[in-house]
Amino acid sequence: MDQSLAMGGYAGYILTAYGVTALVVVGNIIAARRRFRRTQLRLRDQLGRRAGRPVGREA
Amino acid sequence: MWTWFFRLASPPHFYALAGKLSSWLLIPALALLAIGAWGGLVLAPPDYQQGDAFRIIYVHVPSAYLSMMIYVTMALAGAIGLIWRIKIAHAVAASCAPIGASFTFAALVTGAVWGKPMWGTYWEWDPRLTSELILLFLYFGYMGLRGAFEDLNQADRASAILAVAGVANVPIIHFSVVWWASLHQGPTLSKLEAPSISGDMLWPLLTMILAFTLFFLGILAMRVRGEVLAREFQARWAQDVLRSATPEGAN
Repeated sequence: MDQSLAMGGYAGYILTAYGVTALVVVGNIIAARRRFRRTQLRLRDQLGRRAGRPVGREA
Repeated sequence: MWTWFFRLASPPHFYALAGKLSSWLLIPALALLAIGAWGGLVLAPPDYQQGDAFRIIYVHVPSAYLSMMIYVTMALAGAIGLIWRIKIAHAVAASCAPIGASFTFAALVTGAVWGKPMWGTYWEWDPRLTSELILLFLYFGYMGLRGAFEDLNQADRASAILAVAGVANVPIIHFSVVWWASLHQGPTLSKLEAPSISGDMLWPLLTMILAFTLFFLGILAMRVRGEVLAREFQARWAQDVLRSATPEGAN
């Protein structure tokens, strides 16, 4: 069992490679979701501010 | 064919399609990632020369393949945006860059971690490694150039030209191991020849390549939605979407 977990002495390298890849995968999901949410909130805020403004003051 | 193409270029249609695609693609992608990783880490036998260290292939090769495939997608989208002035194409190109940069980074790090036990060094100024590093700089350059312009149209045009010019680096990366003496091993998979890897080692690799591809398309769909919404902010359909959207961004 210990031998199979050691992966022939390469476990550190293998798990580092898989760990970095997992971070990239999870990071991409979080970054994409966060960016979409931020864009949506920013645009909704702009839309709300614009609706509150008197007509004729828009650039 | 052209009707479908022009329908796809319509922002409201594209926005709705991308919303559906992101979950349809990401769920199977994550399932396939888990299957491929299990196959690569546990089920595949050790290599007769590299032992268990070869298992890094299951994350390194798909990352490297994706780094190049995303760049080609970005350059193609940039070219379509330049030639036909299709705004969606520029949105696709802009959304590709951060995903491509992250997988290029993954390819470089996993390659370095594989290189240490096999070559005795994390880094060597080898043609394959150097051209892959240039690819990472091209992604950074593309994103930096986009950020340097306040005018979106200028940013689209300038970054598309850079993407199209930089695509010349992709065949250099791919053929570097053939054209020059390289520490890096030759291609494991080739379209023209039988793979130089046995079937029980091959299936997890193909599963991971498919998983990474679906993952990229799912994340791309997610990112393009935000990009399209921001670009189409003045359009009535975008404002209707924003008014009916939930704060969590589920819509």
